[in-house]
Amino acid sequence: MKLKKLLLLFIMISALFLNGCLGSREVNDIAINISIGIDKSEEGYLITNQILNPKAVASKSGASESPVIINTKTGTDLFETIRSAVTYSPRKLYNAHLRTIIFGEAFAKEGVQKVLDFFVRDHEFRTDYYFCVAKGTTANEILKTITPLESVSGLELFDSIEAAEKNYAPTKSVKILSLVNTLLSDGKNPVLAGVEIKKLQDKSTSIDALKETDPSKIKLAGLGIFKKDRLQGWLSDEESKGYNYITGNITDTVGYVNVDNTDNITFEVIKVKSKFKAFMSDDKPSINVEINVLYNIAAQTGTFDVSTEANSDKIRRLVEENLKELCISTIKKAQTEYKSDIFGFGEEIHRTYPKLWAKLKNDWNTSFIKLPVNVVINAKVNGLGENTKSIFSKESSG
Amino acid sequence: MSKIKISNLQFALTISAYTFGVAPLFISSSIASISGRDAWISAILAAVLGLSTVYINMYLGKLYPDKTLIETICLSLGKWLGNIVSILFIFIIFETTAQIIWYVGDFLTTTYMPEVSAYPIDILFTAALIIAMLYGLEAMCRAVTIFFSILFPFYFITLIMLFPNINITNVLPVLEYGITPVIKGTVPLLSLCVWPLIVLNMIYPSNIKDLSKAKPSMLYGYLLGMFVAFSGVLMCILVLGDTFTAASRFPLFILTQEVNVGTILTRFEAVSVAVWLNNIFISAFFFFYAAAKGLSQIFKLSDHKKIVLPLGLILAAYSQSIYKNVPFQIEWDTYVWPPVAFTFGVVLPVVMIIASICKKAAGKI
Amino acid sequence: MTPFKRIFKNNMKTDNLSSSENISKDLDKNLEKIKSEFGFSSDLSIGVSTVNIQSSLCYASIYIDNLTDKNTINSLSEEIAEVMKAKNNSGARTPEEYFNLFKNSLTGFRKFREGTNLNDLINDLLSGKTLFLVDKYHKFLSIDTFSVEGRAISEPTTQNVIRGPKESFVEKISINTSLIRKTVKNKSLRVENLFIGNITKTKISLIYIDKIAKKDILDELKRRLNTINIDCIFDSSYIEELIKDDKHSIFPTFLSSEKPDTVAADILEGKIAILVDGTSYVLTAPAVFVEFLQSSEDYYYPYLVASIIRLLRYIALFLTLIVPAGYIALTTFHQEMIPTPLLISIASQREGVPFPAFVEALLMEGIFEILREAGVRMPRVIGPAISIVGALVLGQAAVEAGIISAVVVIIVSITAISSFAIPNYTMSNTIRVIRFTLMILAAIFGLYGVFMGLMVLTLHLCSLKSIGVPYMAPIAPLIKTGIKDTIFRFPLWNNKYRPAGISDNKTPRAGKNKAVTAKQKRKPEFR
Repeated sequence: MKLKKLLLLFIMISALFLNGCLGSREVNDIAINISIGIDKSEEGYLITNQILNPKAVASKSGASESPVIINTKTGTDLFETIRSAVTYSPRKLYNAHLRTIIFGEAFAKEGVQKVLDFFVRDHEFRTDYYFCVAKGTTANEILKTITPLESVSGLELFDSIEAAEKNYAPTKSVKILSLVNTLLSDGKNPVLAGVEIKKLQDKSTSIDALKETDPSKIKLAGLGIFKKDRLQGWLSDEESKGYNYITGNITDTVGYVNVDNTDNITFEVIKVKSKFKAFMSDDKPSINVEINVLYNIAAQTGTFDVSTEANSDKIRRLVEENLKELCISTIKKAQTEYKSDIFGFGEEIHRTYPKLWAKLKNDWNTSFIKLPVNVVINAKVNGLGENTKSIFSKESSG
Repeated sequence: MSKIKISNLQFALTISAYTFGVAPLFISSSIASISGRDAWISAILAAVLGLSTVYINMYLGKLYPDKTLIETICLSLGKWLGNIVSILFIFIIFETTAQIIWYVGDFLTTTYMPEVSAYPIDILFTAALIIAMLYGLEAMCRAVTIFFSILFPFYFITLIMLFPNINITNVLPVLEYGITPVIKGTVPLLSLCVWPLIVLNMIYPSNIKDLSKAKPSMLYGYLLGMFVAFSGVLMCILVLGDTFTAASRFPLFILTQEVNVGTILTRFEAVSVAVWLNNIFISAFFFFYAAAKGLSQIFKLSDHKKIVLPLGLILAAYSQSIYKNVPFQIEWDTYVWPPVAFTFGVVLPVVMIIASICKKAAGKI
Repeated sequence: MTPFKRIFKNNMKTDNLSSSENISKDLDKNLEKIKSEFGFSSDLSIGVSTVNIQSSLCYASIYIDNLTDKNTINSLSEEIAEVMKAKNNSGARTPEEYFNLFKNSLTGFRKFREGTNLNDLINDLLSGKTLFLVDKYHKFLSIDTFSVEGRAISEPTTQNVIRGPKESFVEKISINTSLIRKTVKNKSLRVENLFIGNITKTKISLIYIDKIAKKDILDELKRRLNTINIDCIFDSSYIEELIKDDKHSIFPTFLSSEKPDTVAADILEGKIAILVDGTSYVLTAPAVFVEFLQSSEDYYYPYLVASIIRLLRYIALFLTLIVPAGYIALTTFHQEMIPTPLLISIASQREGVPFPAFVEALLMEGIFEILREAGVRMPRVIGPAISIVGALVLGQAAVEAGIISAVVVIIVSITAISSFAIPNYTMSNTIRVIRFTLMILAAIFGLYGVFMGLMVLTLHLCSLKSIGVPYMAPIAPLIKTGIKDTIFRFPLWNNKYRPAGISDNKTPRAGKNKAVTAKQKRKPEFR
């Protein structure tokens, strides 16, 4: 009798638990979405999903199938449009492994804020994907491009943003958290990495290139400057580097200076620390930017002796001048051309003069145009690489 | 029947787990929505203010050693009033247990399985709770030691791995809007973590092995728990920023998603979920234990384990209808729960202490 | 089932009737009685003869053929013949005098006893003694002539070691006791015998060291042993199942070992060894969880190495519990927690696999368990054939046919290898069962289910007790003297006190080693 009761209880409980199984989804029943492109269309949005074809990506024998499936859909509502992709594929779209979100240039100019809530609210989206903007093209075009190295452009974009930021600093990786926080703050405007398509000139470099439908390459293209959530314009690679110097967002980059008009000396920056300091001059807030740079000598074209103290000092001054010029030109561009405080000077004033900020914050971007900014570069040489003097310096010294 | 006795270490860890208890996943959100980027100051302030509650509870425990809270209520407030207050108290505790179970279902259906109803999730949790109740207080307190020694280091490693993501400017400027929002910001932490400590008076003097050393262990446990809460709040503000924290429902969960050290040490949210589930389980256990034990003492039952199963079944069903929906829960937690917690966590013990002192004075005369 | 029970009960009743009966003075009556008690069993050997030709006084010798040593019997009969020749010198006339004559001249160094109780007489016969009865006298003399064939001491079969003693217990309790005695040469070693099993009357020995073993535990153990009411005891596991604290728990709460050094070490910690006649596994109690992950070899290696090996075992335990469940949970519920490249490779392998991940994992784990079970039972010769079928046909072919994904095969292999790293076979079986439970929970609830399962498992472990000692003892409740020998093994000199919960002896068992003086340390001598 007791056994029967237990059995009944067991059946009842297991019937309840079976409900849990419904939430499960097999790996081969999901469509792993690598990249979402958001463009403007007449209806509202043109959404491009770049879905991974795991069979083709991971198989050892060369892929006969396309590594990605492009899924394009137009619609008025963002989530509805993304979800409606299921009408194109037999699998449920799975967004947790999203690597990049690409805004089309036209879309970015109209403002991106309206779509961001969805990416924060929906449980499937993590926070580790990068945002970028398609420069001079649509996100749809970017995602359609098949890239040679990674074969999945969404993945390649993610990797190249990461690699470029770490090794050369012409771009900036922006995740949802920093994008949202920047949009929320009054004293800072966001920048997003730019992406453009470069047509390959030589179509016959390899057989692979021939196989591909559209042999072109995706290239990172500086930073897109936003004012609030609207795209204003673009910084070149060099200016983007300047931006990263000012914000201290550099792990490693290179630059060069010209000594005596003949000799090019390349320096590799290994550490950058920047510090803003707000102060009042003539009852007006001003900003002092102090950038500490630690560099190594990486290469030289001539025979300039880099190993002596005096010459080293000379190079140091040149480096400081060079970087100062770069930073000031970047700031000038932001102030005059795009009228957007992308550096976060306003935030610094907020921190130092909270009361003054209360007056300034509503129209900060106009005040920013006239903000006096003083840039101080403190460069310091660290090492000379594996050489002392130039290896060709024998003649001149002898 | 020999009484179950808990060692001081176990008691301290229990208190710390209980203090942190329900709160970790969403406490930062509710504090940050009130006191903004000064939420971490609120957390420190709450810890300091909460000390008074801890001392009140300790004093209350000292009045009637060998007695549980329910017996103390009945002794200090008299038979009739005492019983009424006890039943109200037990009802509130029981309801809180159901709310805690609801939180579990809500969290898991929000973050992992939105397609599933919370029912099976809650039933599994309740089943585990019932099993834990049947194994008893002693097993639970021992298990707390093990949970703690496994999960606590993991939690801190996770927080340490977030150091590269820290943005120190998130907390500056300090005290921009003055001290008032900071003081207001202590309320969620006090009401969720500190005032419910009264429930532990169900075990505090009566089931402690060495009462003379119980005081420091209670204090250390409390401070450890508050430190954990503080570190969670601080890291949320430092990494996520105050507005994001305030807007998010489970900021700590998002926080641990941010962990990205090297390429391997990523996706640590399972750790935060494990820590939270474990803490919430411990809290739920003590709420449930207090309710069952209290009820059995009011009705003079010999063993509270006999009513665990029926109470558990009620819980499983009750937890489904305790909140209408998420907005209702948020409103309840901001407007209804603090006064309730204050009444039972601060006012009641103070009244009891005064009443019993008066009684003693009257007895002397 | 029931009719059998009744028959056995009836048998016992007849036993009980004669329990207080004494032997009579009439030899013929006694012999008749014994014969009928044994049902004229053919191996009962009874010899009756007169003390000498002149006298009509008879005496009888009784023994059971197959339990006695032929050589001893022969020498006994030779001695009797000599006694009879020299009887004139002794001058015995009465039956009592003859009885004493036998007693004085036959016993020598032999183990003997005299008695009057019929029941004792039968028990003595059953334990291989030879009995002497003299007509018209109410006492019997029993002389130990017990000998049965047994296995020689060999290497242990389940607890293989590379370093340390390699002898193992055998089925004979006397040899087992001697193995322990030989290791622990101390007068405080106590051996207490009792007989359990209403029908088999199996000999059980409790071995412990006086003043180190805790008295409460010893008394409790004896009390529980005395309550046992069962027909037969074939193996020490019977004892364990019958006197366990939580009878329904799947965790072993008695440590079984077939190595005398392990048992001796346990006894020295204050535990009590339970030896059962007829089995080569000796139980030690109380046992705590961490002991099931220790091996005697841990103490024979440098302590750092041993600690790391132990840590490895804990990791293996964790892996064998978690890996299949984790795989199911991650691939069906939490794909977001798998790194993207790994997810892509899992997804590409799972393309075209017809089963859900849970069924796939359950299938492979099930087949592995069957393979393992088959491997234990089958004759050794067929071993390679089975492993070929298992590894090649099931593993490789299933993957190549696309029925099973390669990841699952890897998962099953990790689980299997890890499960073999658990030194105690009983514990490893327990873990196997729990693993399947966790897999089911993972399939229903994902990681949440696994976590709740582990939580309840921890609670269960914390609620367990082994003869009153908490199962998770040195960890929860935390015992500072015991914690030095749990996950890490502290150096022998540092591990100063016996585990507090098990032994209440406070004298240190080790001290700082002073063999190397400071002077010697400073000047190493190379020659």
